[in-house]
Parts: sequence; structure tokens; C-alpha cells
Amino acid sequence: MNHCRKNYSPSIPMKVVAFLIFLVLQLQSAGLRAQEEKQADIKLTFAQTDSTRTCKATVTSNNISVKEIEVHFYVQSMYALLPIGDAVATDSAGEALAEFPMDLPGDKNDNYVAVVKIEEDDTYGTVESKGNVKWGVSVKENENEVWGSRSLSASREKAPMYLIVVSNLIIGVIWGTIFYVIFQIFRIKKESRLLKK
Amino acid sequence: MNDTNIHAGAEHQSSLSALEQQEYRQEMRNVVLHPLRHTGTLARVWIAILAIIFLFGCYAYYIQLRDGLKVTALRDYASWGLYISNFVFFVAISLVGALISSILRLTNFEWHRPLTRIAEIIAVAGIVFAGLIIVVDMGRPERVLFLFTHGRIQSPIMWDVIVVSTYLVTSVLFLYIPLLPAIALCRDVLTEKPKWQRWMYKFLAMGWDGNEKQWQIMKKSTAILSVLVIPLAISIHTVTAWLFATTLRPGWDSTNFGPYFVAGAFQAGTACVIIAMFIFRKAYSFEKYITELHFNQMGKLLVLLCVVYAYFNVNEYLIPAYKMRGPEAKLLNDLFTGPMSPIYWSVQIFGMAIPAFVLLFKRARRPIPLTIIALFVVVGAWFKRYLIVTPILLHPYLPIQNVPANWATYFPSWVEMAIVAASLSGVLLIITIFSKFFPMISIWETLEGEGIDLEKMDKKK
Repeated sequence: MNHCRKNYSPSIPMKVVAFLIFLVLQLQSAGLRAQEEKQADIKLTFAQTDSTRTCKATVTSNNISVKEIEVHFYVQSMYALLPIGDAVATDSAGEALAEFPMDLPGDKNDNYVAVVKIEEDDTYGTVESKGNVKWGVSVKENENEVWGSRSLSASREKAPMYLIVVSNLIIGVIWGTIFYVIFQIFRIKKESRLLKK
Repeated sequence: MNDTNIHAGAEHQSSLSALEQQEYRQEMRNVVLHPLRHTGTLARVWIAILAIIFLFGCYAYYIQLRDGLKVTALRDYASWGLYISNFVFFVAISLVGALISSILRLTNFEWHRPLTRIAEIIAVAGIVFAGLIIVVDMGRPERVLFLFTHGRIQSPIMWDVIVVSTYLVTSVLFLYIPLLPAIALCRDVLTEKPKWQRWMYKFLAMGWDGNEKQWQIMKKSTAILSVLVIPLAISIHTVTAWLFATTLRPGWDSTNFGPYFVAGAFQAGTACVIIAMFIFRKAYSFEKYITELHFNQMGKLLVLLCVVYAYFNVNEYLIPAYKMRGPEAKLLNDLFTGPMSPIYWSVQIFGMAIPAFVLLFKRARRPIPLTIIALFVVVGAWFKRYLIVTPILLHPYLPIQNVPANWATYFPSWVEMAIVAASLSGVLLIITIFSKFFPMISIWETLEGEGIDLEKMDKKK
């Protein structure tokens, strides 16, 4: 029995072949994954009558309508998405409809962003589409309301005038004195005989 | 110094001859500058221990910055825990600068003179760490600037930011300006020190040579600051009290809170100065300048402050306890007989009642017993702030909804404890390091109290 051991190390051509096989396999698997997860597009259209606001999402994949896929409707808020109803499945034409409330606040131009998503679908993954729509209700400050008037509970810009005047007066007097004292330190330096020498 | 010049005013003349005055001055310089020339093993060990605690706290703060405030025990109920209790304590002790250096100065209590610097450095160190601990409590330090750019002047938090920064600047000036002659002395005498240290003395001395004009400006500026610092000191702690009193909570909803906090602050600060007096007297051999008379006087002051603070405590606890209404009753039961009662009664008995009684006797106002009593007062004062902040947060008028049951209790995490320990050691580090660079007794003020006018001596040069 031969107990002699030999350290086996593959030659350079062998290493190159192994690398090429690995590369081909990786590309193949990436291709398969790409084939598995198909591309989908969502097109948004907005329609409005006197009493309804409807957002229609049309889902297509390679220009073919995608039916019976769940679509979620949202409105973009400051930190998160506000859901508009439950998820809606697309019909045979690849369309899903959602009615948007009439009283959602908008930005300063009355716009808000509608967001439509397909979420973690087995075939299409997560797909998102956004649309800007002028459906927002104006949020304008009413000067006559309590919140809008100057008060202790109002915003920074609407602090009571007496508080602004008194606090600034006190801060001014105290800091004026502090700056005067700091100025005196430099006067001490100016009076120095050592530094004049 | 003897009893006759406790309240005599600075104008009295020394009975010493000119030569004796020079010798007295030289001797005092030698004693006061000695700790700056020599640092013993004990001092090095002390600084090393403080530095280790401080660095460990910095590591804990790094953890908090990395992972957020979830590493603390602060939740929806106890949103102000150990950090804010500590903040209130630091603000409290910082008031002592105003009491010793300003109120006693303006009322001509001459015995305060050798104690002014100790009181002032405690004030500065306290207020520095009060500001820092607030930033730690914020959780997002990069947003500090937003307080100035987005702050609402209607908010007591904004008032606190303004008053803490103003008091910090004033306290630093109040420490620095009367220190000018001492810095100049260090510049002229400590020539063996490293180059950077000599440069520092030269820079900070502002060319002080003791001419008549400089003395005049320095004394005038000190007098202005003495007056300015009193309303500021009262404001800073009153505003801190208003942070609580303007919040609708049982136990905080009180019109007494401002004076209650100010009285407690003077009591805690005075006790801190007594401990510092004792340590510096022993460690730096200041027995000739910080005498038993000073301990006796500080002891009397502490009795007065303990009694005043006890009066406010009666108002704060016994009157609501007489009514025992709704949520306040739950809080008071928690304090009187509930889980907080051991801390509550220890603070009231050992931190206030016993000191107030024992210090009525002259024997208790000697250095060692007085320092032990002062230690009890300081520890009691710290826990008192904890009692003011935390149990009240755990008893809101309305229960907080949709939170886990364990959020209704509070016990600080190791991160909070490490950071608070670091802040306490930081205060002690500032005081210790300061005492290794600058004289801890104001030479000119002490000599002036002895009837030796340094200004006149400088003129004769």
C-alpha cells in the first residue's frame, strides 16, 4: 500500500477552465432569473366627475395586458404612503380602478402624488408607478381661526408680540452687558505696559 | 483671619508693616502655587480613575449614537429619566457661583473671599455638563442647531437653551476676569513649565502688569458681573423648574416650583463647595487660608438653606397629600409608601432633616463632620432630582395607550448609568485639571480681605 501523499494543486489551464464554467453557469442562472421575473409597466390615468375621482391603473407586460394581478393604490404623505382602500385585481383588459377621496389635502399648488404598486408578485416582483394629480384640497391658513392668530400655542412665526418684545429686550440687555464686559477684557490688554514695551 | 473681619468690609487696614505685608503675600503665593508645581501620585491616580470613567462613558455614548435611544430605558412613559435628573442636578450646583461669589460679595460677608474660585469653577463645570447632558438626552446631537433655527420662543425648552448658554458665558467670564492677576503671576513665576503652558498663561493674562487702570477695569467688570449673575442664576433654575411646571403632570403642576428649585440648588451647591473646600484644604495644604471659621460659616449657611428647602418640601408634598386627589394620590402613595419610598424618605431624612438639625450645633460645623454631612446633602440632592423627574412621568393624568406593560416602569440601562457616571467624573475632571493649572484661592481677594491691597503694592513696583 502506498501511503505516500501528494499535494494536489490544479494547473493554470485547469483553473481557467473552471473559471469559465463558473462564469457560464452564473450567466445562465441570471438569464433564467430574468426570464422568471417578467417586466411589467403600470400606466396611470385620472378621471374626475362632479362627485368622484377615479384613478385607473393599466398593467401591461410586453404590450400585453396583465389580468388578475393585485394592484395597491396610495397617496404619498410626508413620511409614508397613505393606502387608498384595499388592493384591486386587474380585469381582462389589465385595468384596475380605485376611487380617491374628495378631501385629501394637497401641497401649496393643490397637487398630491398618487402611487400605484404591484407588491412582491411571483411573476413581476415589485413594480411602482407615480402620478402627480391636482386633486388636493387647499390648506390655507385662516387668520380668523385661533390656531392662526398669535398665541402661546401658535407656530414659531406667530409668537405673541409682547413675548417677542420682552424676551428680546431682556436678551439684548443681558448680552449687551456681557459684550461690554468682554470689551473690557480687551481694554485691560490695551492698557498693558508690558505689551507697549 | 479672625472673627472680627467676617463682616467688616474690605476697607479696613492691615496692622502689618509694609515688609510684613510683602512677606505675607510671598508666603501666600508660595502656598497657592505649590499644587501647580507638584502633582503627587495620589492626584495622578485620581485623574486616571476619572479619565477611565469618562472614557467608558464616551464609549457608552458612541453605542447610543450608533443604535439610537433604544439602548436606554427611556420610553413613552419615562421619556426624561436619568439624563434629565442629572441635568437638573448640574444646573443646581452651578448656582453656587452666584451665591458665594456674588451674593456674599455684594452683602460684604468678607469670609467668602478664599472660597470664590472654588465656587466659580464648580459653577462652570456644572453648567458645561448640564449643557452636554441635554445634548445626550436629545439622541440626535446633529439637530442641536435646529433649536436656534427652528426654536419657538413660546417654548420653555427654548428659554432653557437661551438661559443655559447665557449663564455659561457669564460664569466663564466671572471665573476668568478676577483670575487675571493670578494668570499673570503664573506667567511670571512658573517659568519651568512647558512652552505651551507658558504660552497659554501669556495669552490668557492679556498683558496684565497690575497697573492702576487695569485694576480699575478688572474690579469694575467683576462688580458688573456680580450683579448680572444673580438674576441669571435665579433665571436658569427657575426656567428649569418651569420646564416641569408648564407640563400638565401631577406633582409638577405647581406655582411654587421656581423658588423650590432655587432653594434646593443653593443647598446642593453649598454642600458641594464644603466638600471641595475640605479636599483642597487637605490636599493642597490651604489650612491657613481656608480655616475652621470658613467651615463654621458655611455650616451656618447650609442650616439656613436646609430649613428653607424643607419649608418648600412641606409645601410641595404635604399640601397635596392633605387633599390626596386623583392621579396625585397615586404618585404620593408611590413616594410615601410605594416602591419609591426608600429613596424618598432617605432623601428627606438624611439629605435635609438631619443636616438641618445636626448643623445647629457648633461641633458639627467643624471640617470633618461638616464635610460628611455635606456628602449626605449632595447625594440626597442628586436622588431628589431623580424623584422630581422620574416617578411623576410614570403617573400621567391619562394612561399612554398601545405600549408594552414594562414601559410603565423605569430602571436606567447600563448605557445611561455609564454616561451619567462620565458626566459626574467630567465635572470632577474639570475642577481637578483647573486646580493643576490655576491657583484655587484668589490671592488678591484674600489679601484684600486681610487689609493688604495688592493694587497699592503693584503701584509701588
